[in-house]
Amino acid sequence: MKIENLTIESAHKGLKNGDFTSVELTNAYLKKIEEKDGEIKAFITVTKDLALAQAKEADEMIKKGEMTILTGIPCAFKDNYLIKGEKCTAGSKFLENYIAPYDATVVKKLRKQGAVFLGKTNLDEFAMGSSCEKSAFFKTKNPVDLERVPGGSSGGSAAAVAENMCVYALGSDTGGSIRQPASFCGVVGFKPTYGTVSRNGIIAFASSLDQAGPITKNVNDAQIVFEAIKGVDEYDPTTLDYTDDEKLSDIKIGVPKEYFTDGLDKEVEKAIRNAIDDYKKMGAQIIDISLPHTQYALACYYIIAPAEASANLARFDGLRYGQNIDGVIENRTKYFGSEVKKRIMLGTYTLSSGYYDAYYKKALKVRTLIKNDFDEAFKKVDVILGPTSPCLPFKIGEKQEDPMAMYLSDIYTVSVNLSGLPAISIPSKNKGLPIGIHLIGQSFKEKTLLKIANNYGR
Amino acid sequence: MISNEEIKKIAKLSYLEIKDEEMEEMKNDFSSILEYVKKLQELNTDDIEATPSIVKLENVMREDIAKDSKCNLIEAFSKNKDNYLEVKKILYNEN
Repeated sequence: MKIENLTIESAHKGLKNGDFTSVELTNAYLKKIEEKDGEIKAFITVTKDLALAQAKEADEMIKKGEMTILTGIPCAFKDNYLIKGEKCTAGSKFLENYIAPYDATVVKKLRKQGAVFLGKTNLDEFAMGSSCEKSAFFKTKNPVDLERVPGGSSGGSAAAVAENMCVYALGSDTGGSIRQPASFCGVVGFKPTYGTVSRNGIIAFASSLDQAGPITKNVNDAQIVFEAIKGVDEYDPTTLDYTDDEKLSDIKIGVPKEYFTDGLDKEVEKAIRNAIDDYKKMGAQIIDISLPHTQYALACYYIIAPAEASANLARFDGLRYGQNIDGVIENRTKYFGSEVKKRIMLGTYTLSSGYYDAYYKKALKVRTLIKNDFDEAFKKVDVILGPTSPCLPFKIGEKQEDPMAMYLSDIYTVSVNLSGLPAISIPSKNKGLPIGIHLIGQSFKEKTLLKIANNYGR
Repeated sequence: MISNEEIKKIAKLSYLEIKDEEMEEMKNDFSSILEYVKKLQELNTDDIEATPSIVKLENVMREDIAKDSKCNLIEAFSKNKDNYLEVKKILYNEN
């Protein structure tokens, strides 16, 4: 069977009409993984037995008329989501043999709907990276160009969707880790508002920034997965109840002048300018706006995220889970990779006595300024449009030497996490390497954001 | 540039050890990141409140009753004794 152009919606139709069963569909994806993943290396673990058992159950559900839109549809998870009884490594040697004792809330919700879990995808160790090169196991390749990185940290999930090795995948986004790889692989990546989707059972990186979300073939699929995974969860106190009344009469799109500066690749700029023109032709009002603290967002992020990470990763002592060679310092020194060590130490440094006010507290105040910029802008516009990444997908190894060069690829995405906003990356219409259009919405207004994103390309 | 001693001190606080051969790279990366984040000092933030979290966090209280105890976390322990985590002795009687 042909799976190349399947989306959630079309796969659902096929299952519903009886064109194919979930077992057939699942086998087709498993075959694709077997054929292609030796080269792409998107998966750390393929959960074949689990997938086929779930597919059988899904076929039963379909027969009984108990089907939802996600029943029987094969998906993949970034390997920082716990799936009960399966390995969960977070891309780290520390958890190389760790078996998850329970399901993440998102996993539980999808399991209940009869989704099929194909496997766990590669990531930068503990989601700390922008290229998947910092995975402790192997480097994932970009299916569009095998010499290039798929982006990160959810690079395995983005590559798996782009190469049709699953219908959709789940990722996590702390500073752009869903949107930047989606942009690099030419697929859709959606980070919902902080507090809409439970983080329970997703291995924590920086708790005030982490958010779960889908990587999909199109915007409609992103909406379907979001609707399935959102909601209040008693195991995540940041989740909350809210109403999202979509309002869309005349669309106002804000374009921040600070997003079009020196560091932006010319080809990326051209694609984004074209997208702005396309929206204008569709009748949207384009409004020039200013987000004056944009240039401080990355510095702010690289204080706050490592600070929170240093606290979150303190739990990895090797005693309660993970590798143990008898000695907490020995375990951490041997099994953490260099990027993880660097970030733990940075966080420890900025939180330590004598530096706390100058670094950490300062960053929390600058975070307020960054958030205020967005609040001001959203008085005038419905969404904000810009590039997802300042550069094209780069070559494997290209940005290994200088840590700041790698960090700069997140320059447009981090401010969204600092402000808790929803944002989506959608592929632009340019020819050549994929370029993502970044649309940022107002908190808890995902319907408006997704509708505007969905209008593009119609 | 941050010194070897400072790196060693931070490593100790982080429960990590930085080997001599890793020192140069760690020092360089650390210094270039600290240099970059200095940018924030340009801003006057005297009257600005800090934002540690976007969502207002409140204490969530519940009765102290075990729930979901079927979920077996103990299996992941590196060593366990009668369902307790076994660790090295950390309190000694010096005599």
